Amino acid sequence: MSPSQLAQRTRGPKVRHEGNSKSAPPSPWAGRWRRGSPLWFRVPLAIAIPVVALLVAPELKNSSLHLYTEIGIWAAVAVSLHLVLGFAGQLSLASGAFLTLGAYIGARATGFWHWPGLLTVAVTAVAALVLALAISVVIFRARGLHFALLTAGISLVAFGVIVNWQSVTGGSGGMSTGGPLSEGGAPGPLTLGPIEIDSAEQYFVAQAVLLSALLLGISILMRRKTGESWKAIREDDVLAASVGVNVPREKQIAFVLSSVLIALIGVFHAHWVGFVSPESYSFAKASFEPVAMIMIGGIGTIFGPVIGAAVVVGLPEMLRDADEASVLIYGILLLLVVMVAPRGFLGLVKSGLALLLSLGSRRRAPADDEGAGPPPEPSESGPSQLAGKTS
Amino acid sequence: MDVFLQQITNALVLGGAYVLVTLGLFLIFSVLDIPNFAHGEMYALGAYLQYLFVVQIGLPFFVALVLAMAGTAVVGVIMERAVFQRLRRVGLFPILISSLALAIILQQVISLIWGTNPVTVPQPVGGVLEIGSIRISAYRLIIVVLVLLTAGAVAWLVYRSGFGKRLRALAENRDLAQLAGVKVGLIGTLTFALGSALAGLAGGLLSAAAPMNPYMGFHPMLVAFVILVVVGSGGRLGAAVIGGFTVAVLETLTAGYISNALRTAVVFAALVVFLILRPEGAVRGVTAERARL
Repeated sequence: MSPSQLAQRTRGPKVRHEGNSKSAPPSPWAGRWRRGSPLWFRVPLAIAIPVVALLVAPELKNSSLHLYTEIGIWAAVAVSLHLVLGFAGQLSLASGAFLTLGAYIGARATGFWHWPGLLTVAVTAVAALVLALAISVVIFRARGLHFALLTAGISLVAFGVIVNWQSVTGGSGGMSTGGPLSEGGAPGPLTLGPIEIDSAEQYFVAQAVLLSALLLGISILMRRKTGESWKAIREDDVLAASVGVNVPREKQIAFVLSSVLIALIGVFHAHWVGFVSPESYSFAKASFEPVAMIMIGGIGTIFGPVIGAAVVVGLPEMLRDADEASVLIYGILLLLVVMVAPRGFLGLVKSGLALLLSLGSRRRAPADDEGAGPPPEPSESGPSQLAGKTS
Repeated sequence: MDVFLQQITNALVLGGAYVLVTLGLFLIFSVLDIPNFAHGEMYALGAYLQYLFVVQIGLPFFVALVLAMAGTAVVGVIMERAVFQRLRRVGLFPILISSLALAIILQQVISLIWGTNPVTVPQPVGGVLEIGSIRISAYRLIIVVLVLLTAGAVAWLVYRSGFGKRLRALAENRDLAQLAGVKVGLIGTLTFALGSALAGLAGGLLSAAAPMNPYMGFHPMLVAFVILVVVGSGGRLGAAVIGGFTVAVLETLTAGYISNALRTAVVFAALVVFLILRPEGAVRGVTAERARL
């Protein structure tokens, strides 16, 4: 890392503070925009989204309900994964493993053991917690590409297990939440205490509740000490350690929390689909696509993964008419998005806003110029180069 | 015992493919810092170009092999110039995603042109050799010999030639290499072309040994990354050769004695255990994150 980069990184958080405390008259929105909306705005917003979902649900066609629910579920996966990837700055491809874990426990428990939903959720959470803890003890000894491969390895091993352990997972044929295929059972509902989620509309509303609760929780967490520590680790873990952040512990917390959340979403996903098979949790689908969602939406932002999920899940749906070429068009669009906006959609919006603000104000903090300047060195949003830390 | 030896012999051909793909990825990653996830598609492209030249156009096998290598090298140059060189300053994540996007694009282009049904190229040399109790077809023996010769040639190029000196300087420190007058852009592009051509050669050679499909590149690419990480930052090219053959033997024995579906899982389980014991890789280098030549 060059000295100027280091200086820029060390300056980052300090400038952000200035922006918060005394937002100078020429750019009153700069501080507000950086800090995000206040709590009195976000809590009602988080309540309003599910309410709107509840109101519009009867109006929607079945196909739209399906699409929006799928987007919402994958957005929740991406938002959870983003804790490790975007905030703690570790490229984790392990999401597939935990999604699989949750989905298979969910399908097995409802379909074969007839557990109540709350027990399933509790067991999944504990299983994911134990597994993630065990993995996190050793996994953070690797960094950068090594970390990515190690987590990819965990996902691929999980895939191998569900294909081969036929007596429990149904092998490549999969299994239904309605029990053995011979009994021809319809998919079982997800019962959480008094609530029973069964119809497409109910899943749609439940998904909205889940996603907005997750977003609210994370947005609050990110303003607390934990969140700030994670951002510090993302920017520079040596520097973070030097100011008293317990780097290994914080990374572990981020990984375990994200893994447990993804496993719980897995339970939900399995019940919504009604059927689990290795195909739904392949490496490309369950491990890589969430990473792509985060990248496309904008890494380091709260809403980025949601936008990314809408793009990644929605695009193939929109391109369905293109038939054979649809995956090709998807690949080309993905490439173009990364080329045009390497920091994601929200990164593009942010630099655009920064540019507008810099045009509108004469008094400018030096760090803002760096942020909006031509070399797209991600200093505030967007984790720093993983591999770049070595030189 | 005979069956065991025969398994090992069969593994050698697979190992040859892994060695060439890994050598290419090793060069690209250590010189350019690009974790090129589209590298496996270069292997697939090599196989399909071989199919195009031999079966569809009717050229002699070994002429077609050279053309297939040239073709993959050209695609590699286009990728490096059009995508990776532009993203070099931005960071690792965009490079990763763009290489995965390129992998999707190449896969789809291949399946649009040649379809998804498995096809094969006829072997240029017939006959079976018997050495003791082991039987190996003459063509498979040629593959193994060619792989070893190519690995030797690459080693000479990297460690003994003037081009190799510049390439290693670039791998060591890009800025210093540039200050010393190395044309970093040109050397980088040439390295990418060389790496892609090696993968193309692997694909071309294996096209006559096993049926091909557009998605065949994914697994060798993962294996190459595993070897890259296991070898570690201080490893040299020879370690990639040993690694390629080791993984192939491990996979073949798993498929032969345990279960064919578990072969990938076993390799990755071995990787996870290995990295837990020795996170910096087998050969410790200056840093734990970067391979060096």
